[in-house]
Amino acid sequence: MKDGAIRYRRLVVLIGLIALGGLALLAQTAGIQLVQHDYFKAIALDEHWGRKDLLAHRGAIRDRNGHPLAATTTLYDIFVAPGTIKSSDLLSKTAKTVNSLLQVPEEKFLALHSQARTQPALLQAGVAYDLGNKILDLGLPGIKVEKAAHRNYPEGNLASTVLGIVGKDQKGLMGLEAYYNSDLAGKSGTIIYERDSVGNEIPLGFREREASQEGADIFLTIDRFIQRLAEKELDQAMKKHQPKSATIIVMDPKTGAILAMANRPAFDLTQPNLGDTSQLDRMRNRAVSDMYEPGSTFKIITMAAALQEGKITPQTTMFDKGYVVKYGWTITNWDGRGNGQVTMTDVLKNSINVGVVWVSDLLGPEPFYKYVKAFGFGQPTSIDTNGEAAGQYRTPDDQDWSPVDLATNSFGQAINVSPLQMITAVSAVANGGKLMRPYLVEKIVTPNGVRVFRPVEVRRVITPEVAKTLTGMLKKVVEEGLTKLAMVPGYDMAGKTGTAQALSATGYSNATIASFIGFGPIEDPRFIIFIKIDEPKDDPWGSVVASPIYRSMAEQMLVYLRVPPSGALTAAPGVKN
Amino acid sequence: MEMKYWRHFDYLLLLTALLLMAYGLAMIYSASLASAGPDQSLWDFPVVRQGLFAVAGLLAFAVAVAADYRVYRNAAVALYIVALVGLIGVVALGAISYGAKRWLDLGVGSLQPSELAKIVLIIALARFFSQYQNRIKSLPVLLVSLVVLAPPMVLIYLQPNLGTAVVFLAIWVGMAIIAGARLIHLAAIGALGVLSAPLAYAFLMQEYMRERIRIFLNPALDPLGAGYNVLQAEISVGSGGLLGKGFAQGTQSQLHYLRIQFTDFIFSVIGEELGFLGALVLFLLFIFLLWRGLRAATLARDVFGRLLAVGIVSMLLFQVFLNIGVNIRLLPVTGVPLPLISYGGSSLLTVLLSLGILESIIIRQKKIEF
Repeated sequence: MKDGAIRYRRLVVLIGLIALGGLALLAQTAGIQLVQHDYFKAIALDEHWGRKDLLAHRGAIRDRNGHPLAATTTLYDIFVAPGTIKSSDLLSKTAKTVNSLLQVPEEKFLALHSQARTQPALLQAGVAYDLGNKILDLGLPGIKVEKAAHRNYPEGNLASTVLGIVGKDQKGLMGLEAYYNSDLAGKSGTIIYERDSVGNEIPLGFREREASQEGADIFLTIDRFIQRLAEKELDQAMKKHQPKSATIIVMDPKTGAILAMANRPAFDLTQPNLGDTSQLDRMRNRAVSDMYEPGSTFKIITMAAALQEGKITPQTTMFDKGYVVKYGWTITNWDGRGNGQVTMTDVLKNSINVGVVWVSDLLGPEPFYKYVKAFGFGQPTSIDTNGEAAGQYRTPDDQDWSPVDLATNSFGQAINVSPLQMITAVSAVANGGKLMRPYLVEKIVTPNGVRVFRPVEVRRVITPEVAKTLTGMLKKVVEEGLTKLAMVPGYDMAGKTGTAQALSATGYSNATIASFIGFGPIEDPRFIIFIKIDEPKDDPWGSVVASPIYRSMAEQMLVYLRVPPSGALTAAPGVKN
Repeated sequence: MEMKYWRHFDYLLLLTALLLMAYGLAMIYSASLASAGPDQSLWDFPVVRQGLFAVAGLLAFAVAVAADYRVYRNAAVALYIVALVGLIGVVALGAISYGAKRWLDLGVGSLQPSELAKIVLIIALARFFSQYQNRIKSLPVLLVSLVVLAPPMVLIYLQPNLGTAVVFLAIWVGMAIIAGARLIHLAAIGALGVLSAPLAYAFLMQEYMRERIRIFLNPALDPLGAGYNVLQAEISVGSGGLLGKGFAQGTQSQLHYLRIQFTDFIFSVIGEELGFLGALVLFLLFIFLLWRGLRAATLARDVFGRLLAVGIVSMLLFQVFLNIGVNIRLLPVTGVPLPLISYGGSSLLTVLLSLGILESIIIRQKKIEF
């Protein structure tokens, strides 16, 4: 049967082809399902897990008494994802729940849900934080919750350059907002959930929630009353003297706590414009990051060094002929006049350059720069905020140092310091010789507890006795000095003016930096105030421009802090018998 | 019909077909669960529709069993012309669906003439090969058989429906082998086809076909677009593993990651939910079905019947191969349904009709017993 044999062979060929195809299918299926199973399983799992970040509520920045200066209100916008709920039971149940939570009519929810679109539709905007969180937690089907945070400034632009700003993403960009961002921001949590192919959460699906950690509230050392006082004075000074810029710092000399820190120009916290570079200039915290030549206020440091080294006493005398020639340079007094035989107290009182140069000669470069360094100049104070300038000056170790530097440094020229360094150094005198580290944050309050920052003593620079002596000299400066404009009736104050030539790109200009630094009451100093007016237009002198601001602020702070008048406790007014 | 015929009726063939249909209905039920809305009428459920198609298909099966397959031999030319007219109708005025015209709207429902045209082609080729069986070894005769194949195949290609056109070609190959064509001729034609493939890709293929081939080679070209389902099908099958995720528990298919999951990609649902074992059961059922079909070919009382049976087996086999091959990324997307399993009336009707013809051949085998 030849025909049959061929037919049989042909059948074998066909079956062979079938077997080949079948084997290919089987091999590929087995390959995917058995060999590569883990790989595809992982992909499949991965595909239908969704992840949502639960943004943490950003903490507030408060003043020392708890008044918020910057606070975030977190609101939620609630959306409906149309067509996500398939079962009519679940739909009506959800509509009821939504109604009871948001007081949104069930019909509105149902209407939005039945829309023929894929984009979520807004159900209610601006839902309060707690309610929004609750809805987020419930994981209602067909409901999407979006967080909308807004940083508010209840005190307006108060302390704007200290606070800094947050970006649109609520991250701190400058100032304390940036420095303490990790504390303020908290830790965002996550929700992991099952989702379908278009990314919607599956109703009643698996869901795991890792709660977010709320951001901490930061309590500043700043007192909003004193801060406002400083800013009011600055605003007035800006109007009156038309300076380029101005800074006031108020510190508690015993602790280093900053009670106020204010700069002009400042910026509008609510409308920060980061694209505008002139705005950036206004955002700088000049008190911390700008350097200047302190001028005569620095004489305090020179005197402190000489007193501590035993080279002088307040009664030590010298002859001031109005100028002194040093290595070919002539140094004159501010008025170019000689004062004749003067004591060291007179030197400070009349701010005699020739006198301090004489003191620095007695002292010698080695001890002088030792004290300059010990008072904290040339290195950051390590205050808890961003952008601190270290300051700079030449020392005998530097190649380009010359003995003239010692002479000019002694009255605050050819040395760059920051306002913060200056007030910190002088506050050591007010604090019986102990240099404190300045700080802005007193405590951080997290939901789990409170972190309190204790004052930090950096080092003892001078002995209490020397501090007391120097304070006595500075009291005389206020009371018997050139203008007496810093005097506060009834209280013993210590202080020193400064008028330095402002530095321009080409060297010293005719413009000045008028400053005053003072503290009191001297028997128990409650505050130290630093005032610096950059290039006042009407009057160049620190004694004229800055001193009255000290008096004005001190008077109001004494009342605010309920400080009894010096040595007049027994004669308190209004107590008559 | 006389009672004696029923002695040869292949109950195992029918049983296998019924098992496959039950398997298919179960999977269609599972795959369409997720898209079921609360307000659907019974008619909206694919499983209900498919059940009704099955009933209609079994009626067609019964009619085909009862009808003597030999009448098709005489009607071959007429059927062929009617089929061509239907296919031209689809191309000319067919309803547009998925970018391709495959349906004819008949008012009461739509029909895919390309499905029924497969049976008509099998009949026509069986007639041709049986008529020229003595001269089939000559190349010109074999080439003439290609002329029979070409018109319906080209029309289906123009719909455009590359998958079914390829099934037509497979039918011809299977029948030509059994008809006794020289294997060297077939090999030469095959070689010519392979060699001209690049030309076909460049000049003959339509853009969607080229895209499907590119996507097949690298689905990552467009993972969320054209390549999406190819990737998702493989992920579905792969994530099923040995035992699967359980009936109606497939995350990929239930959550709509996998699209068109109860028609062309139903094998992915099986693979995901019932695993390799579920796929193996399916393979075994198909192998058994095809074996019963080849058995029918060996039992056929005449050459026409034998060729008819071989054509039907070739058709079913190749569809199974094409469909599953697409699901497991062995082949580019073709849009061929899985016989007896995939949702779709025209396909089910055609398959049951062809199985009826197989039974008709079996019960009228030559060893007539008394």
